[in-house]
Amino acid sequence: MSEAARSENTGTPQQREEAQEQAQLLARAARAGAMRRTSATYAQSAATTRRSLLRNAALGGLAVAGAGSLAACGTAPAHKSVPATEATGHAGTDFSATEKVINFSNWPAYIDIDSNDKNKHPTLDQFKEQTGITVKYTEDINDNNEFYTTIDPMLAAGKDTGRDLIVMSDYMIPKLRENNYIQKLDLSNIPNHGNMTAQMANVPVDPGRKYTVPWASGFTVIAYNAKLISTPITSITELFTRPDLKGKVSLMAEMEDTIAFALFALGKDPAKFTDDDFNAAIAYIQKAKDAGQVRAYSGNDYLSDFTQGNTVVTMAYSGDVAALGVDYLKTVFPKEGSLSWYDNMCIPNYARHKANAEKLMNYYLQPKVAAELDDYIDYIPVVEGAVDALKTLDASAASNPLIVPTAQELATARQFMAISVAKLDEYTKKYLQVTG
Amino acid sequence: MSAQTANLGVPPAPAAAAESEPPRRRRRNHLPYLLLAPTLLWLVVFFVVPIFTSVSASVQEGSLDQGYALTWRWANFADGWNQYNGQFGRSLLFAFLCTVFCLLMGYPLAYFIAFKGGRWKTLLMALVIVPSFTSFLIRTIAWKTILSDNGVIVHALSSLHILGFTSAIGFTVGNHVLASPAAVVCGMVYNFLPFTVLPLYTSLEKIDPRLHEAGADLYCSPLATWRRVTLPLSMPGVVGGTLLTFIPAVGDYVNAQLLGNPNTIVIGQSIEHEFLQDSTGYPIASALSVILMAATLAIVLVYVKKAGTEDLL
Repeated sequence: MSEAARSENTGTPQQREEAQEQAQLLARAARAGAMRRTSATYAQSAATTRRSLLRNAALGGLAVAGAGSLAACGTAPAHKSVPATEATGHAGTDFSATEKVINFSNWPAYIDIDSNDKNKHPTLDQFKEQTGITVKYTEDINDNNEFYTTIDPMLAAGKDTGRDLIVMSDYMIPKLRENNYIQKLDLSNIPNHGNMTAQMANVPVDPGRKYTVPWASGFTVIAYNAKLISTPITSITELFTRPDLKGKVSLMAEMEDTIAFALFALGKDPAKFTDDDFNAAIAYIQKAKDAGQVRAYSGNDYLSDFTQGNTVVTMAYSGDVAALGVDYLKTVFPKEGSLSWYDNMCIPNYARHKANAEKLMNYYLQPKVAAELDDYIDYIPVVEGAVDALKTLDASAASNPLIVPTAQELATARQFMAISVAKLDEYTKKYLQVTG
Repeated sequence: MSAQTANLGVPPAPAAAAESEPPRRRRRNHLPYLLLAPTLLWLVVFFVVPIFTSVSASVQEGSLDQGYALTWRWANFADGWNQYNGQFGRSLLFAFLCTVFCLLMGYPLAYFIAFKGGRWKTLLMALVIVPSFTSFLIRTIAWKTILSDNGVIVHALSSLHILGFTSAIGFTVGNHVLASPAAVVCGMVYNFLPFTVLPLYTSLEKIDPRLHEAGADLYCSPLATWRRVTLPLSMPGVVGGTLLTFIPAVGDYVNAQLLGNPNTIVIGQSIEHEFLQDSTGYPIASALSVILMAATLAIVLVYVKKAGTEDLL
């Protein structure tokens, strides 16, 4: 620093004054966002001063930062990951008894909404009446992978994510469990645990449902805007190749969904495919992208472009479009097949209100509550007896194939193949190269 | 001028009083650094340290779940470059086009306001700036509605066969404006125009109009006066304006994200993608950021040197 002062001390008083005035001028010019050209002498003297100042400031900064950067090199996880079979998750202190709250993160448009007030959710309000627990409901999950990467740093560092309950799709559960990021449930808080449908009670990603409770189940299908195309769309192949849809197609950013569609289009089975099939699917998607067919790879926000009419055809989650209630926005089960999936509530490590969250899981496992929820969101109930409850609640909904799928739809629906976490990471990485 | 600047918080040079009053020298010597301290601290915490962490992360290996280790894996740079060089090129191209269009549109605008604005000057400048009072993001999303595929503008452009022409030259895709390179560049020009106009206006406004009269008196045509007098005097504004536009434009990803399509992905989106979508992506994302910073710095240095305005940097 002293060098800067010294350089200002050289020269005649008049030069010094000039340099000083120049520095002030520049400061003023910079403040006004202007850069003013000045005479060569001024510029030179000012430049010398400023350069040495800059140099000294930079050196000082380097010294401080150098010390800090050594410490910053590399980060260690708070805990080593353990095999999924042994994982129990890491419990924090449970404040459930004193804090009657649950911080619940879910996907957009995935819960019932009061017809008079869109900020009210009747099922959550009933839960509050019964238990006195307030649910802070946030719709901040737009994409499984993106959400996982958001909470990952906190969980890896052994910190609370600020969430007590999150909803993740089937294929993410092994990843969360392998890293030991979700907690084992206390089944004594969930007496309705036995209410799950037989299909949902024993899933490969969580046998016996010790860590997760299903929220809803559905299909990945196609939706189109009947006002904007004359010929209805019936197949996945059309989605990827039909010329009149160029630049009007939205695919999912979610690897599982779009790969499954490409596999269907190639005549493969998403429930049973090889690495070669996967690579062929990637190439198929790349081809459509290069041809300008694809307008966007979207998360759950695909609906905004679709309702504005910017995308004419989109991959869609089965209930979403029906829930919009617009008659010219049609949902189609593609003839090649559709992907079937289920979403699961789980409790991340160090959640402050684990017991409360378990109470909410238990609440949604009641047939009547599940019927009320699924009647609104148009997804498939995961609770035994919910369909019967739905018949008394809303007879028309019970005949809606999106909520109660027919044998025909179930026949072509496939679940995504169960893959190891390492495989999932490899596939996700490859898929990211096509989308970004 | 110097009487005014004294009030602007710029500390007087420590040397001024040094010779006549030695005892006061020490006290006055510290003042500039004391005043600088908050800024320096700010820079160290929010600029120097992040740069070091970023550079350090760019040679690490691992994943968020397993932890990262500093292994000096320089291959991250090669991997990042090999995978995303197209996005780098696109970012630079978009930023260059944005800067050129901003300059072509901003210069006449600033010139008009500075010399012909008269008493409306302040109002006109306010009009240039006022749109920025609304959030950048909201304004860009608004364009999505304005240029919606079924909106009036797109219908008009389509009926006039303008979209047919722009599609043919690869500026737009099909019969729509959104989700095309043109939409991205237009969005960038719209968002960055004030950054070009402000410095241009400030430098043009300072030019004495009598210089124009002098030019005319010396038998210069208006064009020659502009070329030989106004333009050289406004060069600092041109350089400042283009830098203020180009540098943020290279890293911008909001416009490409909201107005582009999967074939207009820029490097900012790729960095975000690696960072947010891939739990092993931090090193590549950091390597990409470092490459971007280095490239931008190199371009700016060459530009400033060529533009002959060493007094700016």
